Amino acid sequence: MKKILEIKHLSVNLNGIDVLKDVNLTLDEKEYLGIIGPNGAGKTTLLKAILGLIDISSGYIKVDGKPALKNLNAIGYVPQYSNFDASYPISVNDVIKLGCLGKSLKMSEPERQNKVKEVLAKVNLSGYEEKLISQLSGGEKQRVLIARALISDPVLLLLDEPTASADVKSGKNFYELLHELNERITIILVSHDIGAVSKYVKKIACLNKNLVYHDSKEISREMLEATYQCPVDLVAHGLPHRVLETHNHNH
Amino acid sequence: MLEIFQYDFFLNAFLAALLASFACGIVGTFVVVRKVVFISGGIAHTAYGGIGLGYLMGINPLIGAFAFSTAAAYFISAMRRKNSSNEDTLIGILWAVGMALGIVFISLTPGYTPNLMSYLFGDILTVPFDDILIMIAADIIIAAVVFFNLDKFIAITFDEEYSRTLGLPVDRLYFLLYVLIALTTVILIKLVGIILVIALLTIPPTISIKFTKSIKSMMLFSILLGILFSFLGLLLSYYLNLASGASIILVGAAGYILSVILTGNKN
Repeated sequence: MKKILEIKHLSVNLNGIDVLKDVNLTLDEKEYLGIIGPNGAGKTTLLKAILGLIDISSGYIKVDGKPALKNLNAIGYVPQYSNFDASYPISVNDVIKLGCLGKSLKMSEPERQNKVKEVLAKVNLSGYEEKLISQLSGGEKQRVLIARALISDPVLLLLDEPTASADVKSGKNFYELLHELNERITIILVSHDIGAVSKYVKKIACLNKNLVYHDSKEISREMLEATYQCPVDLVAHGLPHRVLETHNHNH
Repeated sequence: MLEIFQYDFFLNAFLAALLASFACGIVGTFVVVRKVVFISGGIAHTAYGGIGLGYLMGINPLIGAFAFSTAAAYFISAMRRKNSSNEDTLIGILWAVGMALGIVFISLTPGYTPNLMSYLFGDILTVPFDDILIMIAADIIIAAVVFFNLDKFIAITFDEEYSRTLGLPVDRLYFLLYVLIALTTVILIKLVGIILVIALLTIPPTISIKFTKSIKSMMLFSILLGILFSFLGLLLSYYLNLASGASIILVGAAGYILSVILTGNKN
């Protein structure tokens, strides 16, 4: 198995506060990790550290065997779609083309057009090239941002707090789409919404300054309590497959 | 009505209006989509210090204006980089200090200072040919910089954080964009004056954004609107004997109200 992401002893200190402390994480090909944690737990900081947006205090991050900062094209980043101004006059085609602006990613115009078509098809938005970003629904905007991340053929896809809106038109659930992409790409999905994450990911980690995870997708009471630092009640709903640990004690 | 074109000063005025509309349409588009009107105001008003210094030292005040505006652009970019929490206040101070310096320099200048009011409120009918040459040079620089960096400017104004993940030099690009605002200020001073620069920079793109689907078409439409407003404003000022800068801005404001009524009906 190829190591796609390798984080060793990562610490980040912002303005005198330890935001991340001794985080270790290794992901192989085609893994799919959900990271959950309360607000302010350092989830966004972890993503920013991988993307080279903030300085790390110690440790290292390697993506596909190379230092992450030297391999930015290998990382596809999907920010929250509420981060940008939805009234900006820009077409879907032009938004996706922005993903090509990376230094070592030079394509000719016809190549780029083909690539835009290809990634739009992957996110079930074929034919949306000329639509304006302001005309899209929230779910469609999110898919456009995924398409933009895919255009550099990344080996690792990072999603920051995706909102899974019911997107009936395209017929496919947002998480099913990620599941399909996961057949080729390693995915990290960050969310504060345990329910949204846990159904589809292969592994779950809890983050609150430290990262706690083991090789399964079961969240244990201990993990949650360590993360949220308060007693947590696990309530499992009637899901088709069980995610939360079976608890055999009386309420 | 064509008789007014027989006057040289009027030809210069129309040429200046064309050149200014070009810069405004291109740079104003980014100012409006990125919502940096206050920053632009800071850069533009600091120029007054340079005009005062120009008078004091006996050089072309427009050159002094450009130097001061560029310095303001540099300070504001440095503040952005440090992510300082009181950026807003600091820009306000910069704005006032620039203007105060202008007043001090001018009071230190011996003798009578002609045309001073023209820098504050614009007097397009007195544009000397030297200034037209400066405007042409500034337009060429703006066109070239935007032509070669259009995708990058779109990236940083649309989604700044994502641009950083692509490895784009976001801070340097913002500084470049602010210098373009400084250049546009220099072009606009003669047309509408420092006080009214922001209006001409923002009114045409604010109307255009309602009707256009891309940054390029927004720029083009803004340029055309700028030309229309300044021509109508000039004619109005000529026939009604009004201040040219104020007439241009009021025509622009009327255009904006008209566009609100039009799009309001559409929706």
